[in-house]
Amino acid sequence: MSTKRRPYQERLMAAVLEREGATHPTLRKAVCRAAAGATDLTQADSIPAELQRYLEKVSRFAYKILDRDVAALKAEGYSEDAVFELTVSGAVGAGLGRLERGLTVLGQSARAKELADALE
Amino acid sequence: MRLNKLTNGQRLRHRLLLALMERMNGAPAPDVMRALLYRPDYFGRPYSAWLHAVMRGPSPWSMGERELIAAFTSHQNQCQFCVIGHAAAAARALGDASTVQAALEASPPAPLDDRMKAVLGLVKKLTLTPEDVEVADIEQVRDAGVGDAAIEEALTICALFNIINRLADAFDFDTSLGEQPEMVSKSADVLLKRGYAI
Repeated sequence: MSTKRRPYQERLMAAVLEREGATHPTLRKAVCRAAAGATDLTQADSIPAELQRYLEKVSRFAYKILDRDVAALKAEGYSEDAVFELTVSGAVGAGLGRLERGLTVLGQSARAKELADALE
Repeated sequence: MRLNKLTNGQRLRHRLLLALMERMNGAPAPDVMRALLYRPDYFGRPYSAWLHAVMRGPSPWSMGERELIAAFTSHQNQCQFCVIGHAAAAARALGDASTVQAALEASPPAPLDDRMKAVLGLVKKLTLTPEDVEVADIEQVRDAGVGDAAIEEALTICALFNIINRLADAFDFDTSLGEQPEMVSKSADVLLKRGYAI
C-alpha cells in the first residue's frame, strides 16, 4: 500500500468496521470481507440468512435494490442504523476488494517488469 | 431515500448546513450530501477526505480525466445518480461534453487519447469482473504510456466510486436533478470548485 493511500484507507476501514454502532463489528467485518470477494455472501455462515440476499445485491448489482428489499430487513427487526451500517460495510468491501485486486496485479506486473529489465 | 434517517436524521448543525446549501443553490441538497452528513464520523468524513485527496490533490491525471474515470465507473455500475453529476463535471472540466458522452456509451469510439482509452478498459474490467483482472491488463495500460502511479490512482478512483455507486442505489438517491440541465451544470461547477471534503 502506498504511503499516500494508507492513512485514508485505514481511517475509513476503522470507522466503518470498528466504530461502535447498531451492529456488532464482527458482523460488519464479515459483510465487508464477503463483499470483497473473499467469500460467497449466500454461503457465509456468519451472516444471517435474511441479510445475505440483500447484501448480495449490494455487492453485485445494487441498481436492482428495491424499496421492498430494505422494507423486508426492517420487518425482520433491523433498525435503519443497522441497515445503514451493513450497507456501507458491504459497499466498502466491494470497493476495497476491487482496489486490492488491482493493486495486487499491479504489484505482480511491476515485479515481472523488474525481472525482465534485469535480465536484458 | 429508503432510510428516513438519511433524509432528516442528521445532527442539528448538519441540518442547518444542508439548509444553507439549499438556500445558496436554490435547489434541494443532493441526497449524497444528506447521506455523507448522517453520522459523518462513521462513513462520510473518512470517505470524503480520501475522495477529495484523490480527485483534487496533485495527480498525473487532470481534474477532468479523474471525473471521467469516476463517471465511467459509475456508468459500469449503472448508477444514474453518480453518472449525472460526474459526467457533467468531466464535460465541464474537459470542455467537451460529446467526448464524455461517447466515452460512456462507447459508441462510436470516443476520441480519447491512448492513455485514457487504456485506463478506462482496465476500470471497466475491474468494476465488472474484478476476478478476471490480470497482469496482461496492467501491461496493456503501461504500453499506452500510463505510469504505475497513474494506474494506482485510477484504481483508487474506481474503488471509491464502486463504494458510493452502491450506496446511491441502495439508498435510492434522487436522480430528478438530471431532468434540469441548469441545475446539473450548477452542481458540476460547485463540484469542480469545492471538491469533495465535508
